[in-house]
Amino acid sequence: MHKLMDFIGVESDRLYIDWVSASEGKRFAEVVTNFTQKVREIGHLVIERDPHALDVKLDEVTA
Amino acid sequence: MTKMDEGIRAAARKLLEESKVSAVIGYELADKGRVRPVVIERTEDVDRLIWNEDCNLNLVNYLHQRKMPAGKDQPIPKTALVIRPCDVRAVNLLISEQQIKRENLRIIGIQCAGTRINKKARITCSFCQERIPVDYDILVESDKPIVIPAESDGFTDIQEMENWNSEERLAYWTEEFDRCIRCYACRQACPGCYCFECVAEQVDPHWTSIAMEVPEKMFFHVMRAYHLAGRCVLCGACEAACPMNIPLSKLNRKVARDIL
Repeated sequence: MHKLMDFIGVESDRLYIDWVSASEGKRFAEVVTNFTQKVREIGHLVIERDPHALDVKLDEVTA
Repeated sequence: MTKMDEGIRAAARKLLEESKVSAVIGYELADKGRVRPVVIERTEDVDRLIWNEDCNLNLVNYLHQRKMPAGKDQPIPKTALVIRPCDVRAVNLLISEQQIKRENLRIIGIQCAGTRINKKARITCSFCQERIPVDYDILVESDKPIVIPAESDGFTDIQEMENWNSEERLAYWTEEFDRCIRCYACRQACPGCYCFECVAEQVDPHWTSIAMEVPEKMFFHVMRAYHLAGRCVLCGACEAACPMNIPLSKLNRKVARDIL
């Protein structure tokens, strides 16, 4: 899963997989807090797309 | 009518006349020289069946509609398929996943010289080593010369992309996925995608929004590639069905490369 995310260019740090028992409430809180903290540090995923890319194609087709 | 058409029609006629199957699924000629899948149930319709290099879908997919009895106390319908070597791999997948039974199926195997998508050779055909199906009941030999490509692993484009940096890969896939119109044709064409309720359309829990934005499209395609990990037979039906020509098999081949 990490490799696939890397392959499409999304940092694989954004995915975290761990196992916590139902009885380990404290650890669950820790895991979630740590990961949300980490994602906040990485920040938003910036996807730059040209909003008019499809318009050009549409012109080609309709022309 | 080519020699292959003759072979397919003769095989289909025999199976229908002997009542070995209730239907033969193959291809027929559509308008503008295109081909489309057809379900033949009567012997007089057999002559509609054809084969050419544009027959690029995976007909095994239709078995999902025929794996249950039509009514109470009725047997599971028996079907014959006109399929390529890569489609036969999908048959094996569905048998191993307990979806279909081999005895309900007759395979009219095609010796495949490669197929095309939009008049261009498919990527998956360019490294395919398997030109005769691994399993068939009747084999129809190709009237074109069979050229088996040199033993290349078929991952050269994946390797090349792995050498790019993260931004380049994101830019590439953003451009590709931006074209996606979320028609789900790739999912409908895929013999391995047969969940009753797809994650992409599930409402409770609502995993992904229905927005037409790149992140949602990315989620859908990566999720699909992940669900097909180790199951994808690289038949290329998703790419053939895609109206926007997105190179979907790159994701599947990336997964295949990492697993194997």
